[in-house]
Amino acid sequence: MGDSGKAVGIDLGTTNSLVAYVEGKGAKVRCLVVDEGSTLLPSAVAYVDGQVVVGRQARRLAAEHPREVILSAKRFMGKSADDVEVRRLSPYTFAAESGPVIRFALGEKSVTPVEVSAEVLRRLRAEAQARLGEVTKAVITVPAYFDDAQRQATKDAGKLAGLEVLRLLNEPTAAAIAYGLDKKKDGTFAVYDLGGGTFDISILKLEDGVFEVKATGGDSALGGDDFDRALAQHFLAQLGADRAEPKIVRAAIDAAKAAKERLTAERQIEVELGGAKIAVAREDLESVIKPILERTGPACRRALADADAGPLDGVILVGGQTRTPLVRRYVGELFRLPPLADIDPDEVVALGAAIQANQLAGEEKAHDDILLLDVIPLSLGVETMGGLVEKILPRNSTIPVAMQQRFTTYVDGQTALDVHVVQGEREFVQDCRSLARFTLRGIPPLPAGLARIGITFQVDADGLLTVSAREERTGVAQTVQVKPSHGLTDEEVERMLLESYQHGEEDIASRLLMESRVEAQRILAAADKQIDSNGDLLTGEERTEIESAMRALVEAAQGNDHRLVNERIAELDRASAEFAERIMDRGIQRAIGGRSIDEVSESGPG
Amino acid sequence: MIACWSCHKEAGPSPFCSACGELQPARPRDAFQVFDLSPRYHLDLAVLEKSWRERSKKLHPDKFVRAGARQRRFALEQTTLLNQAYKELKSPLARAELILRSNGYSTPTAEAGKAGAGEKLPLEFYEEVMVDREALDEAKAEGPEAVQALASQVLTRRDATLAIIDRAFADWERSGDAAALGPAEPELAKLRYYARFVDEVEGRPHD
Ligand SMILES: [Zn+2]
Repeated sequence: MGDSGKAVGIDLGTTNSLVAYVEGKGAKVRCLVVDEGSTLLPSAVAYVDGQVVVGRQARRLAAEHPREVILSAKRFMGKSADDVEVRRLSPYTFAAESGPVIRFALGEKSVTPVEVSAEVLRRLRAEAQARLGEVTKAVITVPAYFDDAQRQATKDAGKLAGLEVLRLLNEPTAAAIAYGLDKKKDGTFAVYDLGGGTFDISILKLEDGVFEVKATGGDSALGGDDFDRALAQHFLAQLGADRAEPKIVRAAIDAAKAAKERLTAERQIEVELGGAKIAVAREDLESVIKPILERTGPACRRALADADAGPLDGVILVGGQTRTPLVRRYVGELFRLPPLADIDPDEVVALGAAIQANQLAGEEKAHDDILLLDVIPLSLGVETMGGLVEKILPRNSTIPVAMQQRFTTYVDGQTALDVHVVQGEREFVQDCRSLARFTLRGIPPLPAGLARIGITFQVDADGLLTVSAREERTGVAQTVQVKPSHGLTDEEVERMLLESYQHGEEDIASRLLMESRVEAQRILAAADKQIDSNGDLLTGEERTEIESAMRALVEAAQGNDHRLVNERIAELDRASAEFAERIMDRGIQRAIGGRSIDEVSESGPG
Repeated sequence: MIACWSCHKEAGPSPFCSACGELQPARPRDAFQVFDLSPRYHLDLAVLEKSWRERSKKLHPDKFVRAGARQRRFALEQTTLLNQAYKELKSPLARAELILRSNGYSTPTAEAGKAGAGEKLPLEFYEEVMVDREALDEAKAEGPEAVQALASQVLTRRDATLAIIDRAFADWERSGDAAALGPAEPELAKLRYYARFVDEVEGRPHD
């Protein structure tokens, strides 16, 4: 790869991909026409008759060759065979040989999602070279939620296509660059990205040449396709065809999509479906899609609260669905700002990527570069007793970042500690994504609670996590690089976020209960041990009192009321306070060789 | 005292060697030192943020993409330290705890599975906590408005606690006398409780 080649910006999308380029001395940035007169290249790749075809031509082959035409390889990037996306209903067959990476089976051969994406990139590169001369470098955009494996896969696809990937850029950041840098305007921006099948919201702050991601959120099961389906249902209801056959449903969805697009400019249209004519007003469309659109509200409010960044200076619209007038009105009302839409919402991400590519490829101007500061999209934590998650790094922490947390042993003489690293917002391990497990061995055998184990989580600037643990008394240390083979899907990330939102209250109640139970067990074990070794310090009456308090606590811990458990813990504490003091006295007396405390304090330190 | 890895001269306290300008490994420093600030509770957060950005621009690993592996590692260490220090100084609670610790007061360190347990609080405060808990249960049964009303009541008490903390730290900043921080210590424990309570009311899992 020579240094002479040009650098482009590429939006490698789920549905469509684009390539953009800065002309002259950063004068003008534009998207190149790449497929049948359009700047949008459908991200479809057909492997038919020993030929590879990309774009609209490939998409047209899909009906006839459902297995050989891959329509959205992006959904499979960085996924393994046990990922939800892979097991979901789809026309594709996956090659049987199992490895960390899935393969689409195409007759006798098979291809990975990385190879499919590389075909899309190759086509974009070829189209760009036809106009610009040699193209060797690119900034490629990825969703903010893409995990390490998905980012790595995207980078690999770039390499396969003969491109040096200068940087993987988050899509919302790219959109904000297209707006913010064009206008040399500092401020806080929301990027509202509504695509065909996904919704993303990011809050970014640009100041003094630093672009900081403050918060991100979204819902990957929400998009313009839902609008189409809802409108199609409305049509079918008008025709009285509630249980239509698949062909009619297909036709209704296509008619709905076309109607939605026409109603962007027109107020009243007529749709033909199944031989009937249906009159549709823009208001009809709006009343049908409004409830779906309103589902984007909670994620926006949550991102704003997470960002805690004060008033917004602008809202940027990304994604073809934001052309719909109602979407613009809704976003305007939601953020109390007229949304910025003067850049084509389909092109804005590629344009931002091109600006960044131009900047990174340019020499001798490192200090002019804007710095992009990203965040971790989901909280990181470790499993603690009772299957609870102890959060170590909250979501939206700026990276690189590290945090240390101290743990101890729960059993006398414990010499190993299992560390289970999870990612997610929920309170219980079972509801989060498991990232890695390792065992810290060689802890010196000590009574429970005496070992001091510091666990450090380090996330670097690329979002890669390293976990290390160290026993502080002995210096026993262990480090693991956490590189999940398949990683979190963006759907999973969002599902987890949504679930944590819905179950927050329920989680807290069960967490409190679980904590009180753990505490009860610890106290009961300690009391048992003390009675065993120092029972002679108790009168029969005292012993009965402590034991009945213990029984009461055991009973409470079996129930579901954490306050009752805490009350009984307090009662047991009270009942054994005197006893604990005597044990301590005995310990001190043993330590000072049998003299009484009074003697020692009287003789004084001198 | 600390030799530069590159030129072997005295490197100085800054992330970059004072003799040759090479990036140095991160050395343990507290958050105020990282920002070259003398410890203060009353900080101008806008100035702090600006300083954080300026420092990020010099230290971030992206600025060392073309440098050697060693410098890239130091950039990661330095930026991590910077981000940690920024996070600590941004939060009034963390900032206050840091000052208390460096003035010989003990502040509870978080331990796994025991969030908030084992803090020393005045007895009356435990009663307040119990009353709040019952009130929260009742308010939840009553509806979101009652929960909001309770939350704003707790926030009012939190503000009173913040005012006490504020005064104690202002006294300390004037006199430099660590004893002036005494009244702040129990109030910080209350502040932690209020933060958790409000998180819980708003259905937000605490960090
Ligand atoms: Zn030097």
